[in-house]
Amino acid sequence: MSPNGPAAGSPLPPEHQALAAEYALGLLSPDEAERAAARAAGNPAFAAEVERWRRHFSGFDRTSPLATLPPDLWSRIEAKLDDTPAVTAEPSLETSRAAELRERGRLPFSSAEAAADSRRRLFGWLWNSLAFWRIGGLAAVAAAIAVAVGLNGQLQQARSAPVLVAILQTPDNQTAAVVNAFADGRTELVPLTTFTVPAGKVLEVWTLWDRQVGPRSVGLLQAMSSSRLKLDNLPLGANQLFEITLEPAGGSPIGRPTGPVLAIGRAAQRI
Amino acid sequence: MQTGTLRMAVDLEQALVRCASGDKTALNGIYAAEGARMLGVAMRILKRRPLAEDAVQDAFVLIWRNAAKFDPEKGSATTWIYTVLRNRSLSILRDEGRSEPTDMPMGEEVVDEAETPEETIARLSDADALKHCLERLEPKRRMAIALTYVHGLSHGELAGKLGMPLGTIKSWLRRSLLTLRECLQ
Repeated sequence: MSPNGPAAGSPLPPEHQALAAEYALGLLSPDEAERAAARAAGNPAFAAEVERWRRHFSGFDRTSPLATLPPDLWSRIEAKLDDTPAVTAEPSLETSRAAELRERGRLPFSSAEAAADSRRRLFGWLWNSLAFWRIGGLAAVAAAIAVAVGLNGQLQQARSAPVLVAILQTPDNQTAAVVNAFADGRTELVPLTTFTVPAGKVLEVWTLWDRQVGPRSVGLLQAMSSSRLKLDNLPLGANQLFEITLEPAGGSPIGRPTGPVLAIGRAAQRI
Repeated sequence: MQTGTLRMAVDLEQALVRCASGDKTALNGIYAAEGARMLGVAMRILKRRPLAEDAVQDAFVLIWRNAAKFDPEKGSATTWIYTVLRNRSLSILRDEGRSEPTDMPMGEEVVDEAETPEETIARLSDADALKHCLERLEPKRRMAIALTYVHGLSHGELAGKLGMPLGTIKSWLRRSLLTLRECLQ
């Protein structure tokens, strides 16, 4: 809430100040809102004005009561995600700030990226091919999503049966989860049991394919739920180990498992 | 509904960057941290729980799809997430046409509308400049701004609610906003 935002240097006419406020309030008709969005895209002072209004008004959001979430809402969301893959980051997003966040957050594989780069093509996700298509010139996001939806259809058959399966078992030999890896590089964790996750802890999923390289984190879970694992640029093969450990919130601070192993299993090739 | 519920501290900015890289657990982290508040915000606009749940569901799908468009240089992750949610809620509201409550099933959970705009403003943080600046406006003007943001009222609905002619409400509200802006500066 800096009083001297970017707009201070190049004052906006009052009608644009008010327009930015109306836009932030949600008062504009769809047509007007579209024009305001276009103005924001081409005029940083106007964009900053809109953001400043939004930040001021966001105080109202914090006065809202918390509503009880229905237990199935997350699974409803998750079910929709498979059909709407994340749009791969555009180069413009790769600002220094984003890179710094990536580093600070130990985003999966940031350190392994160089080593795994040559393998990426083999194990790339649909997202990667999406990025390829987009950078290749079919740039519109809508088009990319359409391509993705089309690819989804074509890949449905290939995706339907995993090529590798790992059964993860607890120390007392209960089956806790299955990891399925598909021909298109997609890897998912399917939970078969729940673990009690104490406050301030998370479940972290690891994979180990080479003891020289050591284990790699492939996902953080607040609770056991069907999840896509981040194996897109890691090798994948039979006998590869998968395990779930209990780690501090945010994941293991040292990039290797620190907590107790809750479940572990080795991948096997489907016949 | 309680405000004391433990909320996980999640770095939303970082979570969005992770969503952009395809990390579904990051989206789940946002849901765990903000979902209950987001449903509350959507219910204040949409009043009916099933519609508000749809708005939250759609918002998370849109957040997932568009996470790569979030630019931390240009704005905060919180405002980005809530803007997605409010936009979705408002378009559901305008598509549904709230003035036709005929198809509302019996017993469906409807938000308690007991909280007046004045009460909402009173609940703003004392440290929030918005609170002090709204309090310096005429009551009717601050009420209009709160009703618009919190309950998603349109110009027409605002005119009806405040008993003002539709022809003047727009410029009257603009003047209110510019006065508010002077104070917020």
